[in-house]
Amino acid sequence: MAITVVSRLAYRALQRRLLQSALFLFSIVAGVALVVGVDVAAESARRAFALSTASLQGNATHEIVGGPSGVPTSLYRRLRTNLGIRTAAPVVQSTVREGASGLALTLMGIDPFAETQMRQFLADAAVSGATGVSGQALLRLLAEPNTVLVSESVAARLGVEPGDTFELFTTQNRETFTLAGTIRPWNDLSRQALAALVIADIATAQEFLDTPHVLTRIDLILTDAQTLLEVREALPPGVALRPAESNRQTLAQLSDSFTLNLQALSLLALVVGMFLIYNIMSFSVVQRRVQIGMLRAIGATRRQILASILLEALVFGVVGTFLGVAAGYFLGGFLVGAVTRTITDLYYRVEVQVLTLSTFTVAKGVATGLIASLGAALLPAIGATRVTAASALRSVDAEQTTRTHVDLAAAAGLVVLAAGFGLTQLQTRSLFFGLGALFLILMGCILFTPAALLLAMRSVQPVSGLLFGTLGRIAPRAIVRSLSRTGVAVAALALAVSVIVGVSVMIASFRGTVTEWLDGALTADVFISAPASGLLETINIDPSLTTLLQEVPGVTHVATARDVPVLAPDYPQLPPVNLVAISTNPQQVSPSRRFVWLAVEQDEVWEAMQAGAIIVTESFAYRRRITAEDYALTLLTDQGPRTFPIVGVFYHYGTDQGIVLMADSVYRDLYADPWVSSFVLFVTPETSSESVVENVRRLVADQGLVVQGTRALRTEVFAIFDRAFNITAALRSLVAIVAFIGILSALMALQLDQKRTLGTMRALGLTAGQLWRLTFLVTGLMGLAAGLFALPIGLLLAKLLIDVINVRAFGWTFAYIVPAGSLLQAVLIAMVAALLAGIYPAWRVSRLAPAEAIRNE
Amino acid sequence: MSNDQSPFVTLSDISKYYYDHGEQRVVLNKVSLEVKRGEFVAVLGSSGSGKTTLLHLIGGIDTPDDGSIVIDGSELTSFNDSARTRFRRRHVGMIFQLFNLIPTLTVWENVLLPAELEGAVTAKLRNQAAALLERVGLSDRRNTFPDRLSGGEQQRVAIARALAHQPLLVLADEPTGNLDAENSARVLSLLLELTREAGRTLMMATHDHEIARQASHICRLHGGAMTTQPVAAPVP
Amino acid sequence: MSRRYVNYKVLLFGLVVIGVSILLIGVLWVSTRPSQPIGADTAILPSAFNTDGFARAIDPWLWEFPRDHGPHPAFQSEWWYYTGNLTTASGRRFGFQFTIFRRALLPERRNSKSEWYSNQIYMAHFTVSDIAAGTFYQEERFSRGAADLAGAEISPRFRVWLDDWSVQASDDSAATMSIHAKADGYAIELVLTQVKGPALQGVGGLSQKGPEIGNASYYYSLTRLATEGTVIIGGEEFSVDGTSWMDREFGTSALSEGAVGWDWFALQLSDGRDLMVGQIRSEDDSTEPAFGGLLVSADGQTRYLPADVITITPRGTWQSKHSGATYPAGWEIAVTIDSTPLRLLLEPLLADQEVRGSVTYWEGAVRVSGDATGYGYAELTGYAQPIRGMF
Repeated sequence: MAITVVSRLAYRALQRRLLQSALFLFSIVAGVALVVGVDVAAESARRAFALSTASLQGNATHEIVGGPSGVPTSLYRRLRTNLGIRTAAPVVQSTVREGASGLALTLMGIDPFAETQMRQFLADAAVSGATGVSGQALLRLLAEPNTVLVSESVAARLGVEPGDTFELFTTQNRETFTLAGTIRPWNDLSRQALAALVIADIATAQEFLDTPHVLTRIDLILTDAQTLLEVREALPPGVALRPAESNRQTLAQLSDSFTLNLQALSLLALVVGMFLIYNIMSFSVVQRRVQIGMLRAIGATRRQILASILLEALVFGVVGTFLGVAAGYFLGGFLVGAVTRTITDLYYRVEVQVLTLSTFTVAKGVATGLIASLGAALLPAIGATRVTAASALRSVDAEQTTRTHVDLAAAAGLVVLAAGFGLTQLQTRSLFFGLGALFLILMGCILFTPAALLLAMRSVQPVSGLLFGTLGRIAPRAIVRSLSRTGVAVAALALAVSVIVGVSVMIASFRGTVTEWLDGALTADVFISAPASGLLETINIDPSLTTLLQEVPGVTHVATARDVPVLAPDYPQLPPVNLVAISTNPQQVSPSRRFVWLAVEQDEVWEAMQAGAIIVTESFAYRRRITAEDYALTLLTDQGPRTFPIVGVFYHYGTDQGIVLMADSVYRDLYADPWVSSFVLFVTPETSSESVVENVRRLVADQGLVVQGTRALRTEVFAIFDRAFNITAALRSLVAIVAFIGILSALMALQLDQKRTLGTMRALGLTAGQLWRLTFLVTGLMGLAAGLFALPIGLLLAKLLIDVINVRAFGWTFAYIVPAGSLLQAVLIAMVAALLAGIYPAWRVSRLAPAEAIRNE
Repeated sequence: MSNDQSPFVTLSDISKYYYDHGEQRVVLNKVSLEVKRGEFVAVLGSSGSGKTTLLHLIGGIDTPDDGSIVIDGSELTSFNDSARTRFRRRHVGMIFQLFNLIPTLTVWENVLLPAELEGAVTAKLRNQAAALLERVGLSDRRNTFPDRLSGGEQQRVAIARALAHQPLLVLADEPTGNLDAENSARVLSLLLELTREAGRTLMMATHDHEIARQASHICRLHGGAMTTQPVAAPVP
Repeated sequence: MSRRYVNYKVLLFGLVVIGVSILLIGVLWVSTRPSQPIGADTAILPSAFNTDGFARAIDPWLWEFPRDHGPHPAFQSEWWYYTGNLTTASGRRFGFQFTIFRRALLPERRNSKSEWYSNQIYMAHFTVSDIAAGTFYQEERFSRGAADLAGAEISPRFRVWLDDWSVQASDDSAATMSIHAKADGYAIELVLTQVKGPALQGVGGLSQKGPEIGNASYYYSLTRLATEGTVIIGGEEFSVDGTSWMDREFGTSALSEGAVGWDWFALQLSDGRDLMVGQIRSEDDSTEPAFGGLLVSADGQTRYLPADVITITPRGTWQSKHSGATYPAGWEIAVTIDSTPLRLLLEPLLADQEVRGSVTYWEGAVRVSGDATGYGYAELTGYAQPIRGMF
């Protein structure tokens, strides 16, 4: 008896059970595809950002950056002439928008003479000008005003060719530019670098951005420690030298929490898929009980039986995993749009030119796929080894052993649950551990499901018997009898539905909290700012607009805010601080602002701020471990580092990176920065804010500013909010689909399992209609059970998401709001899913001639 | 019971084919048979001779490809599936070689199942069913699930189930085929006793000539054709 | 029970699927890659420059010093060209070239808020020939003439600079100038004192480069600058003294159609005389008759040498391993002055003194023997590529 025979039997078994094979494959493909797809989307976005940042930084090892006042040109001159550093390149960079499309582009002003060793993409790219002479394009760039270079793809998007003109605008300027030439990227790096880039001579950029004496940064290639020291000593206060790499990393990590949450959700789909596989494999074992028993009778060892089942799972696992990786790559293409959209909304502007399928992602997909296949098949395989020749041939009920598994599963569930809760009690802020705990708790709950199902079906039997007669009595018993199948199906469905409940409750809670917060935050009447994407974009508006705005009829008060990234030397590993300098008492702008803690009285906050204190948001405090006991923040000002006392931490849901509020007067003393970023207007009660909005729009018509009333702003905030959760919701549905397929396969197995019983009943007088009713009773009960089990699990999940995951990921706390409707909906979803899944199996059995069904094997 | 000599079950030229890989295989070829009320007809034949198929056709579980079946004046072959099912659960009791009790129902529920499916469980019927269980010696096991019963016990439950709703026609497909000699004898005598008492018509597929000798008629199936012969002296 | 047996069909099936998947992923991967890489091309120097709007060298220039040491932005291009031969006390010889070129992109400056704006580009070449070590050091730099990064000025004193490379006057009359240049691995710190005043080249400083009107430049030289200072090679400092030559030209597009390059020699003879000879070569192997030479006597008297009294005969060739160009190496130069022939033999102190930047040419120290002895510098352009339209 060689192993070949055993595996040949497995192979034939596969051939015969095409549907089961397809479902197994589907489970693995879907699970792996989701894991890989989310990874591809997240990785592509991250890599695109890292690549464009990296390629924009070129070969720079370091960069000199300043605060809102930028870096003085004199420093650059000093580096070149006094220190003799040749590998330094000045950069003036800002986001601009194209006139016709409003497309956001990065305008990068460079000195071509300083670039030779710095930016590879410029050296790699072929520049072609209107005349076709490459040098001509660069010469025009230098010599002629308002000339720029863009990549061929950007030119195509803008519909321009060399020599054509197009408009660019910022909040201060709108000008016509001539395309001096196009750049043809020759590799992915330069393609990514040039994706949304407009290259201009540094003088052109300064003229257009109206920052004549300021550089955004100086890129440096510094290789020896001595020069590094010299550069550091030459730095004036207010600018900082930092490694280019660390900058890239701190910026890219902005979106890490967001993507990690997505990845966790995708992993959940795979777990649901594992339930499916477990189900299919155990069914396949049950189907082959007699065969296995006979094999054992004629001398197959337990080990050979185990190997044969695992080999079957492995073959499917390998096939499914590879198809899953391929499908995941495609799925990633679809997901990447949604992912980058939200990342652009919330963190930084990014455009993905090339999908990244990293070795790590492939390895992860392959590992999860194979582990899931083998892991899910392990129990059924071990079950198969327990089949003895005698028991199989005597046709003793296999379900008896399942009962003991129910107890085992419940016991294991208790252990897993305890481990999960233990993990939440760990003194850590690790999001990874948080998600780990979440998984364990979820799994623990799910392991209880078969036991709960057993209990529920026993207690529901009298009721359903009363309601539906014999069929009502048969249905719950049928579920209990096939617990090995129904238990897993209900568990998978409960898992999926609890994810739906948990995520829905979490989103509803968040939305409710944000609504309440916005109501308190948006008390001004008109808001004026510029379209900005992400945190890294600074908007400069001429402050002289204040006087004009004050003259708009009906306006009682104009407040300004200056929103700039500022370096905090104590937190080099974190992105720059979002500093908002406000001209008006924040309590006036939002009187119902809620504080986590306040060191002064509510009405003394503004006084303290004007004296140099700051207040920060909850997530800001969380990320930097600022507590009521440890409350100071050092920021790099034009006069060097300055430490500010923090007098309060307030709730704020605008950005998960957090905000520092500072009095405008304090800010202007410390930074030579003339600009403001936004205005808020208060109007008299008699004036309609719509009319003020109209008037202001006319006033700032040319500046590309966005003027909004409270309602419009609210709508916009929620649009961004909803977009951020779109992908979460989409993944949630995908999990549900996998679960649906799971319960479908379980019901198929169940019905096939009961073929003989159902056939007998047909012979005894069960009509086709009664058969349908019985099936729907069974599936409906399973759905109902899953839905009901899912409620407490889902609510617990939501609680964990809110109290552990969101705090760790975003530094936000919010209220726990349970929408009754969505709970009811979840139960309905479970039932409908189960009922729908019952249709096909019921149809198949009803078509089966009773004579066939009861035919003795 | 009745002296009505008109046939109770009439099979006229029924044929049944199966298709195996596109090849027609004749199971029953123009089989005709008349069975009178109260008769016990034994259908003899080797495995695969079409015994089960014949019973299935008469019970309305399967339909013939040709010919007609009339039972007590109802032409079964003109019914649709639903009507056949209803006819079956009202007028036919079935007993299978492998007992085919519903594992998810107790002994008592199994016995009442056909009536319950019909929605016609009356107090009278319950009494009859209880009496039947008493007769088959299992009234103390009424709440037991079938998997706790021995084979003989299961088949006795099946007899009770087949008779509880007082069918006119009982179809038994090798009811003793899976039982030892002792159980066989007990089940058979119960079955004959109970059908005869109520004057029910019994058709039993078997390959046991001993059993066949107790029948009023013996039909032999061979090669799809049937020959009928009366039995000389039916033994009670 | 043999373990050697595996189910080949199952394995084969699995392998085929894996293979197909890998192929599929591979195809996806490859299809997203660019099909054809494009060669690097960032040449900043055009082969055709628009000369409209610039002043041309047509009329005699009214020279005034030190003013004319400073920049002349009305003309498109201009250079300050220093070459010299230096020795240490122990006789170790060095040659150097330090040149700053100015090139205007447009004749007019526009108003700009940006201090980075300029219509001027500066380029500098700095070479040192370490004769004893046989090493030729070179570096090229560019900068815009803005933000104080590069420029030329006469007020308050003469200064031309690009980054930390500069030449500047030590006194108002610019009788003494100093050169500071530090490149990767070598540097010079030199003080240059005028021994002779400015010698006007061509006719009163108008040096015709072709038959067309305006195809000329204003051109003068400081043919003998007593030089001392230090040359630094690697970590080693050498105190040196010697003689330098400064060439100053400004003009707008100074070569005719068909001109491919020039050979130029600045020779300082031990008898106190300095000699500039040169020839502009055309595509048809002829030389430009309008371009001549200059003899400066020991007392500073100058004498124009028309092309027809000068014969330049190469005595050998040298092929560059770097550019592949073949240059003449070693010359016999015959000049007839007042019907007195002067025959000089020139020999490069180092074979490889090829400058390879945005323009490839040979500029190197030479030793003079024959009727007179001395040292000098030779410049050979247009051998690696046509020079017209460039600086």
